[in-house]
This record gives sequence, C-alpha cells and structure tokens, in this order.
Amino acid sequence: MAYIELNQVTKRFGSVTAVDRLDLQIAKGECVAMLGPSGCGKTTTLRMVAGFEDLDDGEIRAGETLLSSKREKYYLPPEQRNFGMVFQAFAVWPHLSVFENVAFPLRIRKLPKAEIIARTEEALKHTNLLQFAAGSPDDLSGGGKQRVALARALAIRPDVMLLDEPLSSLDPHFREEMRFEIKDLQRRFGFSILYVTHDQSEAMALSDRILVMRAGVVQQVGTPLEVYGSPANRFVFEFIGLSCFLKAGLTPSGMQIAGNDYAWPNGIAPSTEIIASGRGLLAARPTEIDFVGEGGVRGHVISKAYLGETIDYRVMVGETEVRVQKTRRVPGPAVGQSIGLNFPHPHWYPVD
Amino acid sequence: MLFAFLAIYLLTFLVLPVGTMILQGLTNNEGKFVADHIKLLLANPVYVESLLNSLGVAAGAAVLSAVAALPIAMVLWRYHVRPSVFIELCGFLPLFVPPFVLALSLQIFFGRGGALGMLFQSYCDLDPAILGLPSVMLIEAMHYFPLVLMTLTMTTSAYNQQAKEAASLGSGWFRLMTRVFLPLGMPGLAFGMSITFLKTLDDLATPLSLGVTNLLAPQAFLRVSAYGSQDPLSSLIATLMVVISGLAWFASIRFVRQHVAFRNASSVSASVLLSKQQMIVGITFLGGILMLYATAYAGVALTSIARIWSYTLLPESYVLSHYLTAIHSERGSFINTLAYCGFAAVLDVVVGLVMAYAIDCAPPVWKRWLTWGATGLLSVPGVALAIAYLQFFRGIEVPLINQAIDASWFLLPMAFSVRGLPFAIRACSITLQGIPASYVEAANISGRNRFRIFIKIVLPMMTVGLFVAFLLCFGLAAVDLSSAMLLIPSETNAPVSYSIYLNMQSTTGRGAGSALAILSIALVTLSLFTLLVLIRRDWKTVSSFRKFVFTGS
Amino acid sequence: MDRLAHFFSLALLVIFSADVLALESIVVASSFPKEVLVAYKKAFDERNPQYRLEFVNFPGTNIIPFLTDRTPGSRPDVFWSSSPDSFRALLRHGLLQTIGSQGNPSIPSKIGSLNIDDPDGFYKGQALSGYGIMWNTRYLSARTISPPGTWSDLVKPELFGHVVMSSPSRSGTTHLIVESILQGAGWENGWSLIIQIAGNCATITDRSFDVPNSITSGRFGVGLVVDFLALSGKYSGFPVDFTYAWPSAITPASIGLVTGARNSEGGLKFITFALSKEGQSLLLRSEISRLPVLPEIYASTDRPADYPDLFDVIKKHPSTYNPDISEARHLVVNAIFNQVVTFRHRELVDVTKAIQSAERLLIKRPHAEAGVLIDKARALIYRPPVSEKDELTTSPQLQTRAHIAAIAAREAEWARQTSKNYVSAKKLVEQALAMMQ
Repeated sequence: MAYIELNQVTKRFGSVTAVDRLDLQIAKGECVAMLGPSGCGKTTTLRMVAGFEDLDDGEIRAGETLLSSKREKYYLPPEQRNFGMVFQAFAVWPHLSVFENVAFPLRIRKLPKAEIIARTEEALKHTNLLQFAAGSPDDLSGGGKQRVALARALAIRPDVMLLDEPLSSLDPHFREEMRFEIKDLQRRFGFSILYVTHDQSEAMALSDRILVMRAGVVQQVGTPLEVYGSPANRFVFEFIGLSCFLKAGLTPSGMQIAGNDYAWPNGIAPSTEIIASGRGLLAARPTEIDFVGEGGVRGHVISKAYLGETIDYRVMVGETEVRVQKTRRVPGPAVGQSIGLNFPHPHWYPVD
Repeated sequence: MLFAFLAIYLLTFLVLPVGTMILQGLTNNEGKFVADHIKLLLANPVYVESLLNSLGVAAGAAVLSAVAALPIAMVLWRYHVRPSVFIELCGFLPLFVPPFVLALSLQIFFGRGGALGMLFQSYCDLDPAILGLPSVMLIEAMHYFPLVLMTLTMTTSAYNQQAKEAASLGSGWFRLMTRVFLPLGMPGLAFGMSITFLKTLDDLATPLSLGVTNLLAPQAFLRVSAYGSQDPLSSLIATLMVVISGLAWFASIRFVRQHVAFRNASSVSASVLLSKQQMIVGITFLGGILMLYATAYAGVALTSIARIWSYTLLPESYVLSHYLTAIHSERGSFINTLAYCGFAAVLDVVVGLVMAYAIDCAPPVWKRWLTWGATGLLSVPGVALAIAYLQFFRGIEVPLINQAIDASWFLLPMAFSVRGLPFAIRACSITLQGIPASYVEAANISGRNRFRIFIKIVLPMMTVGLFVAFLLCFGLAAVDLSSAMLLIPSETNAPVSYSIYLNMQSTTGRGAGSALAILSIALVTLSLFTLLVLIRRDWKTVSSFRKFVFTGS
Repeated sequence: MDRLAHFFSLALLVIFSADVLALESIVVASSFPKEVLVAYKKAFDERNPQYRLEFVNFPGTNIIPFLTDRTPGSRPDVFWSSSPDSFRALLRHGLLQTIGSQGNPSIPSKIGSLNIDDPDGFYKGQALSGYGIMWNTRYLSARTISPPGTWSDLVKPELFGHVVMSSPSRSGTTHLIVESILQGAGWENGWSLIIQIAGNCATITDRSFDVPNSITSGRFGVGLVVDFLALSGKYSGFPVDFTYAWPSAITPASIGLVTGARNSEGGLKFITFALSKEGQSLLLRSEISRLPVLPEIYASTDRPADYPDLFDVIKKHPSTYNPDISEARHLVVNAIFNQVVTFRHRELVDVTKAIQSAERLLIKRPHAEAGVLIDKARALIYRPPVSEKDELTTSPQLQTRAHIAAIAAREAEWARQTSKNYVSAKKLVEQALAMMQ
C-alpha cells in the first residue's frame, strides 16, 4: 500500500530541469533510498517532499492527504506534514543545550510541559543521549551531533523521516554504527524513511528499495538486489559497483572486439535489438570475469596489485583496460602474460 | 509589514530630504526649474575654486595615503610579516577618531607656541594653519593612512605564499610590485582610497580648525549658518558634493569588486613564528608608524595634562584635573553620544538586517541594484544630509511631545543611522549568510511560529555578527561631526566629538577638550580590543570581518 | 545576549529620560564660551531643581536664521549675547517678548550716555563688554615687538604674520569690532584699516574664542578680542595682556526673552537670575572675567587689583557706536569681509607682504614713481568693494530667499573684482620693485 506518493513531480531552476517527471511510491514503514551523483536532483526531491520547495508540475500526497500540487496551487506548510528531517550538516543549534535542541520542536508546537519533557527524554533515551542532555551539542562528536538531530526529528513522532545524506559528514567507523541505529529506530517507531545518499553501499545496507537518479531523471527503481543484479542501463551499472566495459561490433553470429572476431558462446549473446544496431557495450563486474588459458577474449596482463583477500589485475584488451579481481588462493597469470577473458554473467548495453 | 517600515524609513530620512534639497537648488520661488542659482554659483570664483580645491584635497589625500602605504605594505608582504588581527583592527581606528583632533594636535605641537614649532620657528614656520590647503590634505592623508595600509595588507596577506614563489623566481622589486602585489592589493587599496576621498570631501571640522574655508563643505556650512537653510546656493553646493561622492564611489567599486579571491585569507596559519629578519622588518615599520602617531598626538596628550603652556618648549606646570573636568562636566556629552549613537546603531542593525534579508531574497537583477543602492548610500556626505534635513524637516511638529522635529535631538541620530546604514547592511548580510539555511529549515519543519523561530534560533546565532555591526555603526556615528555641527539643537545635546571641537578652541577649555579627546581615543581602542576578544571565540567571524571590508565577496 | 539586552534597554532608558527631563528645560541660545555657560548652569540648576538649563552655542550673528528656521514653540527661550545688533535684528523681526521692568532694579538703566537696557523693555543689559587688543607678552618680547596700543598699530609691518582675528560672520564680537571701526573711522577708512589688519593676520579663525586661545598658547602674538576672553586668560595665569582700543564700542551684553519660546516662565526665571547679585558676581570669576552692570559688585567682591572698573572704562572710551546702523547692514558687512578677506586671505597676505617689503625698500632707496605704484596697489586692495551709500547697506531687508539670492549675486561680483584687484596689485608692486632694483 503506497503511503507517500509522488506523481510526475517536476522542478526547474531557470532553464535547468532539476527533477523531471518523477514517480515514486513509499509504503508505510518502508525505507527508500534516493541514490545518485551530486546535483542529480535527489536532494531537491527530498526538499519538495518536506515542503521547502514548490513544484513546477505534478503532485505529492500522503495517503489521502494532498501535500503539494502544482495544478491546485496547494502546498501544505512543512510543519503540518509531520515529517522529521535530518540534515547533512547536522543543523544542531549551538546556543541551545542538547535537551533544548530536542525539545524545541515540541515547544514551538505548544505541547504541555510534562509531555515535552517526557517525549524529549524518550527521544534522548533511544538515541543514547540521556547523559548528555544538559550539555552543549558543541561538546559532542559528529556522530553525537547527528544523534541530536535524529532525536530532534524523532521527538515529534514523525510519520516519515527525511534523511539528507545524514552520514556523509561522519567518520567511516561511525557511519556503520549509525546505519544500524537508524534501522533500529525505524523498527521501533515504524516510520517510513526517504533517504538521500550518493554512497551505494549505504543505500544497499539501509533501504528496502533504491531509486537511482541522474540529471533529474529516474534511471531505475528496485530492491537493492534488482538494482545491483540487473542494472537498467550503463549509468546504473557503473554507479552501483565496480565495472568494466568493452566495445564490441556485433553480428548475428558473433562479436568483434579490438580487431578479433569471436563466435557467440552459449549465454553470452545480447538481445536481438542490440545485435541489430551492429554495436554494443559488454559490461561486467571485475569479480565476475574469469581467466582462461585458451579462447576467451584475448588480452595481456599489464599490472597486478594485492588488495588483501583479492588480487586486482589490469588487462589490456586492444586499447581498453579491463579490471579483473580474483581470490589470491587461485594462482593467476603473471604480468605481461597473454590471457583469455571469459564473461559468465555479461550485461549488454547499447553504445550511446 | 517590515518592508513597509523599511520603505517609510528610507523615504522619510533619505530620499525625500535629499530630493527636496536638490530641487531647492534648481528651482525658483514658484517651483519652476531655473538655472539662475547655478549661474550664481559659477559666477563667484570662490565657489569654483572651492570645488577644485575640494577635488584636489580629497584626491590628494587619497593618493598621498596610498603612496605612503604602498611601499610599507609591499615590504611587509615581501617579508611575510603579517600584522596581528589587533593591529589590523587598529588600522580602522581612523574611522572612529575625528581627524580634526590630529589637526589641532599638530597645531599645538608644530605651532609657534610650544614644542617643535617653537624650537624651529627661527628657521621655518611649521604651523599647519599657515600652510592652509596643503596641510588639510596632509593631515587627512596622515589620518587615513593606517586604514589604507591595513586594507592593503589584509587583501595581500592571503597571498604570502605566492610572494615567496615569485620572489624565489628572482623577480625584481619593481616587477614584483607591478605584476603581483598591485593587482592583488587593488581591492583593498581602492577601498581605503575611496574612504579617504569621501571622508576628506565631507570633513568640516578639520579645515575650519585650520582656518581653511575655500572648500565645498565649509562653504556650504558657512552659508547655511549665515543665511539659514532656505539659501539656494548651499543646497546646490551640497548637491554637488553628493554627485562628486557618488561618482567617486562608483568609480572605485570597479576596483574593489575586481578581485575578490581572498576567501582563504584566514587559512594562512597565523601561528607561524616569525624569523629574526621578519621581526626586525615588522618592528621597524609598524613600530615606526606607531612612533609617528604617538608624536603627532603628543600635542593633545601634553595639553591634556598642562596647566600653563604658553610660548615654552614644554608646559610650565602639569595637572591631572583636566581629566576630572572632562569626565565631570562632559558627562552629558558622553551620555548624548551613547544615546544618539546607540539609538542610531540599533536602528542601523534592525534596518540593516531587514535590508540584508530583502537583498538576500530578491531576484538576481534586483539584488544587484539593491546592493549598489545600499553601498551608494556611502556617497551622501554628512554636510549634505544635514542641510537636506534642515530644509525638509523645517518646522514639522512631532505630535505627542509638541515639539518641532528640528528642535529636538531626533534628527541627529536619524542622520547618523542613514550614514551608518551601508556598513550595517554589509555586516548584517554577512551575518545572515553565515547561518546555513538548514539551521533555519530544521526549525521551520517543526512549527509555524516564525517570530519565535527568529527570536529563539536565528537571532542568538547572529549575536556576534550583529554586535560587530552595532559597534561599527556606533563608532562611525560618534565621529560624524559634519552632520552634528549642523544638526544639534542645543549645546547640552552635543555628542563628545562636538564638545571636543568646541572645548579645544578656547583658552580655558582646551585642557579639558584634550583630555576628552585622549579619553575617547582610549575608549575606542578598548572597544576594538573587546571586539577582538569577542570574535576570537569564533574564528569564522574573523574571516567574515575581513570579508566585510570589501563589497561583493 | 542578556548583556546586550541590558545595554539596549539602558540606551532606551537614557533616551526616554532625556525626553522627560526636556519638558522642564530652559533653553538659552548664547554665543558665550563654554566656561561661562557651565558656571551659570551649575549655579542656576542648584537654585532651581525643577528646571534644567540647556544651551545652544553658536555665533550671535546667526541668531536670525536660527530662529526663523524654527516655528514658535520650538525655539530657545532666552537669547544672551554681547552683540547689540543681534538684539536690534531680533526686535525688527519681532522675535523678542517684552520683559518690561522685571529684572534687578539696582542695575542702572543708563550709565553716562550708554543705555544699559532697551528703553522699551525688550532686553536687559547683563554685563558690559569692551573691545580691544590682546597679546602674549613672551611672544612679543621674544621678537622685541612693543605691545600695540590701538587698532592702527596692528597694521605695522613688524606685526606681519603675528596677528590673529576671527571673521564677523562667525563671531558677534568680531562683528562689533569691525563695525565700531567702520563707524568710528568712516566706511572707506575703516575698511582700509580692517583689511590692512587682516593682511597682517596669520590666520582667520573659525570661532571667536580661538583668537584668545591661540594667543594664550603662544601660537600667535596679537589678536582682536572682546575684553573678557582676554582677561579670563590673564587671570588664569597665562602671560597675556589686554588693552581697550579706539575707535571702539562699550556695549552691554544683553539678555532677552524670545518670541515663541517653549518655556517663557522658566526663561524669565533665568533672566532674573542672571541679573541678580549672585548672577552678577559670577562674572568676576577668573575663567569668566566680565564687567558686571550691578555697581555694588565692584564695591563688595574682591577682584584682581588691575581689574577694569566699569565706570572708568565708560569714561575713558565714550562710545560712538550706533547699533541701528550696524544692524541694518549686518549681512552685507559680513559678506564683504568674507569675500574680500576670509575667502581670499592667502592672496591678501601675499600682497600685503609684497607691499610691506616694497615700502621697506622705498625708504632705503626713495623712488617717486615706485612710490606712486605702491600707493596705487594699496588703493586697489585696501578698500571696500561697495560704497556706504549702496542700497544694499542702507535699506535693511528681511531675510528671504530672494534677498539671499540678491546678496549672492553681489557677492559673486565682489569676489570677481577682488580676485582681479589682488592680481593687479601684485603686478603693480612687482613693477615698483623692479624700478627700485
């Protein structure tokens, strides 16, 4: 059941279309991550959901309630949407104590004093901040500050939590910890999450579904597995993990890479549309390429680097460099050696 | 609502008075446009000469202070001597101390009656009043030189690294100066020079205390005091001053805006220990400048403790009672200064904040015009504004207190506030920009009460910035003698600077007047120091303060 | 934040309290130096705690535009100044209220031929002022110059660059000196004397009190001042002295109630105080040193041995001064002085110096033709740009925009003529010098 619904949401800044006809449904209690490079429109989308930005087209609803609509010229103010929001730069007010930071949204809503105290303490307890309540947020680490921001968003008991790159200003080891905490809080309070990030591993770890954006246009929406396993296009493939590409000339009977002709082995051939275009892009993850002595796509090893458990090979196929990662337990080719590459799980994309 | 308040304020206290003044000069009794008054102005060689003199003295002071500042700034830069923030702030002292104090001090020190002037009088007459015009120029240049020097070092200090590299390439001094140093320092130089130009043009007390009358500001002042505010020629002269200042300011804006790449000024580590050579260079130059000013102000300092000093090298007898007199009998003028300048500065901060907010929200085209307009306010000289007020508010009664507005102290702080506004807008917009949008949005998402959010969240986060703006406007108002001389309705309403001016010219008052001057300078230095302590707590603000000096960053 | 709030509230408090107090204030417009005003304020405020005395200080000559620029009800209450023509001008503009016989009956309304009070009771004499020359004894003896005795001594070449005076448009007392010379010596001769003195001046000061100030400090040697400014310096211990000079005026410094005063009652109270025995004895303080008009003060209070006596002074210097003539041409005299002297002082000094050195040479090497040229040069510059009979000086006008513009037109004319005169005079002197070489 869709709870938050974005229909054909569009936003333009001058001549630039920041978000282009975006559709998205978020179910109650679901966590959706918006993933993309900076400037792709993901934060703009988040701000439109929050109510900080007007729409140039389309509408946003929450259940039966209309939140924003271009056609009706209706915008529910941010504070009436009952959404919590956490910003990348924490946005924790330095002149207020931790307690007052969390209590402020409740105070401004003019809740009874006793309830303010109870709710604030509850939010602080769940974010492990109770012992710092009287102190200044400036005395806390980045992770601590972000917890204050989280507690502040939590205190209003939001229906949806909007998280704008909440972890990117934190040290790497805090990030993982905070991921679990966010997940934990979501389980406990049952809010939905719309999460903006440019870090694919964060998106994978946290979310039920991922929406990949590029230049305002949605590239793919799906579970982490779908997005990683079958990227909808070259951009998604490249953005979601390590990748290598080889350009190939295509005929119904085989392909030509770097001047060599190869007949189609089983399971490797692309769709007929791509074959019909005569050219295609063979994409693979470095871990999903095998070395073969005879046959395969021919190339030669130019370097070899140990990355702990795996070895990172760079193989030149014609003019193109291909990365291959193999476990160190299986002996691989030496530098300078001519070698064949097999692609057991190839992806084909049209050449742009 | 807020914007309506802003519009009313600007209309009432700037646009309408100045507009009326310009019309006064250009129309006859029936309100028709006539050139009669312009012809009258041009017919009298005194006014034409005054115009040329004013241009010459103001431009000369600006050039002279730049010529003095350039080589010193260049040496400091070349040897990577970076003055401390406090010294840099002291460079702004001239903005807060009226230049006529320097003029009177030099008169005491170099006049025939005592000290150096007495010593050398058989060889040459050093009295500044004998020199006339050139000494106005020299004194103004000397007064504003520290400002030019410091704006120059502040713009160039961020590039010390480049200086090192350029120097290691073996470029000669001249090449280094023309190729690297001058282009880098241009914004600071242009800013310092234009301030010197505008302030010199507007200065009334300095030429008058030197007996120089053939300048625009004294001519306008003398005419208004002899013939009253209805005199059309003084309106014309004031209009002329507005035009000249406006042109000068907009001409300099080009240079000030040209390179504003000193964003990383504060990224230069301030704690690097200076080498021995650098110390020597720094102490020689900065110490030398300090000595020079100590000597220049020795006249006032000595007078403030002299009982009888007449035609002897040093005073015959000393007393400290002048300080007691100054504190006791001038308590009123201190309170006045506090009240007017405080009132003006509070108004400035409020209006400046609204203006800055308006500029921030405005569409880009408007933004540019608003910013220009705001800084263009700089070009309304105090004398001109005062004349405009005298004409515009003549005989208008304030309803509740049943008093004519021009007979109350009210106009003076209003004039001060208009004059301080460009600085306030600048300071406020930097302060506003210093608060990331998300801090406000984080509050907005939780509740509707804008006012409460402003009071509880936005305002506390701006405290330091607004306090800086307040101090700045306060200080500028405190030395704005040009408007004060025309607008104060009564002696008891006089601010400190005017009391100093009056006292220092009378036999029995000059001790107390000098004491008052010394006290004021000490007070300003102290508040600069306090300011520094205050902003040290937040290094970001220091870099903003740096930025503040230059428009368009 | 709290501290800031406190500061603001304090500032607001100060502003409002000042306003509340203003309701009880008495505003006195006066050209007197600060010490005089402070002494009277202190004494008056102590006696009358319900009032607060305030002062507007500016040259007495500017009182008319100051008052007419303000509507009735917002003007100062009292005008107090040494300048009799200012009082005449106020009368003519209807800006004084009658006081009648109020004041101090012990003060004679006439001493000798001199009216102390206005016969119609519009203003009262409060002190006497005489005018003369002040000098610094050390300054003059260092240069072996003997102290001058009267105005004409001030044009001597040995005083060149050692004299100082103010401008009549900026100082009521200077205006009086100029006028008394003009009335005593005649229009043409008077102006000649005044311009020659100005040619000997090192500078023309902005305010009248800067003249005694620069003489007490020894910056300059000799100056034209009102008696009390010199005497206060002398009795404060400075090496200065003073003499009354002829032709001069002994005039009462007067005090009167302004029409449209905000606080007439309080104003009258202050006037009564200034005329009382207490107010009169304040005049003898060393920092004030003025001549009281209440005769008993001279008898009772101890004062310096050589302190001038009112009746002596009046006897010795019978006044020829007529304030009505002075008042009628007041603006014009000021304008002439400014255009010929103040704004052209450098040129004047320059030519004066040239003439003096040429004349010195002439004594050594007599040369008839050169002498004629020098006299021609003198005649060119030491004379008024306009005759006494000019309608501008004879028909007094109210200060209106049209009248101001009319004066401005004449000013331009004089300024052009003066510039030309200085140039031609300089040429004449150079020719004379060349002849004598």
